[in-house]
Amino acid sequence: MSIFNQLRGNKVLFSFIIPILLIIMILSIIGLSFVYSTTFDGETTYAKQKKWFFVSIVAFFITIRINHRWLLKHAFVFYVLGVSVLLFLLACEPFVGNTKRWFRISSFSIQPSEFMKYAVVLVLAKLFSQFVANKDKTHFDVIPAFCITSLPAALVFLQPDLGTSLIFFGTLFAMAFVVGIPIRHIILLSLLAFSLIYSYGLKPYQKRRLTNFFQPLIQAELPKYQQEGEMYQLIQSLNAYGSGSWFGSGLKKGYQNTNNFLPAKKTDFIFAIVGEEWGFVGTVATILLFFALFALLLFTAASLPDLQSQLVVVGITAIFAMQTFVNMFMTVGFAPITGIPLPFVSYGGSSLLTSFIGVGLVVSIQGSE
Amino acid sequence: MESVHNKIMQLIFFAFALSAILCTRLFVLQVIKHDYYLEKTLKQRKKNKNPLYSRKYNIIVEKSVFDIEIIPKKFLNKDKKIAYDESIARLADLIGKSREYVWSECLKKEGDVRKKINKKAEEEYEQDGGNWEEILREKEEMYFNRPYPLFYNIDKNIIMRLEMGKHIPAAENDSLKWRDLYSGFVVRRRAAEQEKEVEK
Repeated sequence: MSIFNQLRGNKVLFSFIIPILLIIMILSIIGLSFVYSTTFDGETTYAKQKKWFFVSIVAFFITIRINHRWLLKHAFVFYVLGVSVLLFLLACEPFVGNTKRWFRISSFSIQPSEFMKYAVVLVLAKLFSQFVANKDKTHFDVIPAFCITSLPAALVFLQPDLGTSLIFFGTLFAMAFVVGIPIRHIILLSLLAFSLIYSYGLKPYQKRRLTNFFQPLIQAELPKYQQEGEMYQLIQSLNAYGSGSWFGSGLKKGYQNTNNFLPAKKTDFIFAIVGEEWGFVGTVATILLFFALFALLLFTAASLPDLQSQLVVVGITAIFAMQTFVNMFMTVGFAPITGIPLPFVSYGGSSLLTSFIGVGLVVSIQGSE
Repeated sequence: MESVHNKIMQLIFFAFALSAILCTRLFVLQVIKHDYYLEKTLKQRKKNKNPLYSRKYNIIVEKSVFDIEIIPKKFLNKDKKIAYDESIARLADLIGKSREYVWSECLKKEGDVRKKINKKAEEEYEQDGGNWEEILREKEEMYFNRPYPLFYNIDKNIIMRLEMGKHIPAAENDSLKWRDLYSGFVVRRRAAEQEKEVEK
């Protein structure tokens, strides 16, 4: 609690920190409500998520006690450790399902890539602050940052988890933008990375997800095999949103939810269930909460005196924002489908835990500055 | 520092723009096109009104159909061998058929799915060309690697066929029996093969 004591009487506590904490608590409660709503297995999934929620709160209070300067000092150690864990995961047989994304500990699964994102943010903050301080810099000096991001992104891509690997690049670009790398360079670099990944990295089904994205979304115009196969998930997601109308059907009452039409309804497509059961009002309220969270986090970054700390907060916000927008855009058919959870809302312990740790880090930075 | 501050403000504006686009899209989907999508959903639901098609009760289906076995949910993380024996016995008992019959039905279903996969793969191969093995593998992933279609197939074809004319619920109360049947099983092939080996 020392940070809260330090900030007592400080306007930062009431302007930024308490509103941020309130928002993440509301988002988590929304998440828990919809995990409950989508649970029809004797509530075990819901119970598991509740446990993770309490673990995340504990992790949050531990994180706010950690000095971020110590974290920044050891950023490369965390990075190397994270990369080693990812390599180890790739070398082992899958612990859960057919992919190499998770470790299994008892009945819980841990996703190391979720933690790796923060290690990358810390390393990038160090690199970019050195870049800004360097008076003879050229834009080629950001190439190491690109390589440092590409390594874990490539390892995560091999798991395979395309969505999470894209989050690494999104974070890199947001941080590069803030330190003044011209946006045309960022776009050029993105196009280069995209064309390389598209040509050599993607499996045919992943390529088709991208090309399908440009196809008409009107179901009547799609061939039947696509309605039942590749486009099935998106069609069901749109049906879920569309059934919601203004106020939705209420928890555990959505047709798409109760009839199990929508795959991944607890995880990546939980926002579609929010749309079905809470309607337009519920979805817009959730979007506003997310926007308020991002704005508050970024205002916090702007209020900090030190560039490294600013970059860490921007990086963490970029992780949240990328995940949120990519997830929401994919469920409404505005982005290709990738496996990205909605922060604080989707079912998944690692995602919830790391989201709370991320916010804890921001509070810790704000407190110590 | 001034420049960093400005860039951060630009990021906030960017987030606002994205949120606005999302809200507009949701307004179109949820309010303007509500009737269209509701009709689509209700059409799907109509099929599911029949308890034979009901998906109300969650079925856990393993990610791959390359192994088929029947495991009660409560035993999933425990001793699978015991679970598998008990499950076959339980399902066979429920439907009043022999264990061999249950397995042959499961394998038949898998054969049907495989035929479908081959047909789709052939269609795509003829249309786009490419590597036949890759296309086939991809289709297998598409049909076998996702819980939904497999669940759908078991639900509609195996259990329905096994139960038809014998256990069709006459009243709402009978749905408990259906829940028991639906909610407890996972179908995987490995156990079927084990079963065959044991029999040999």
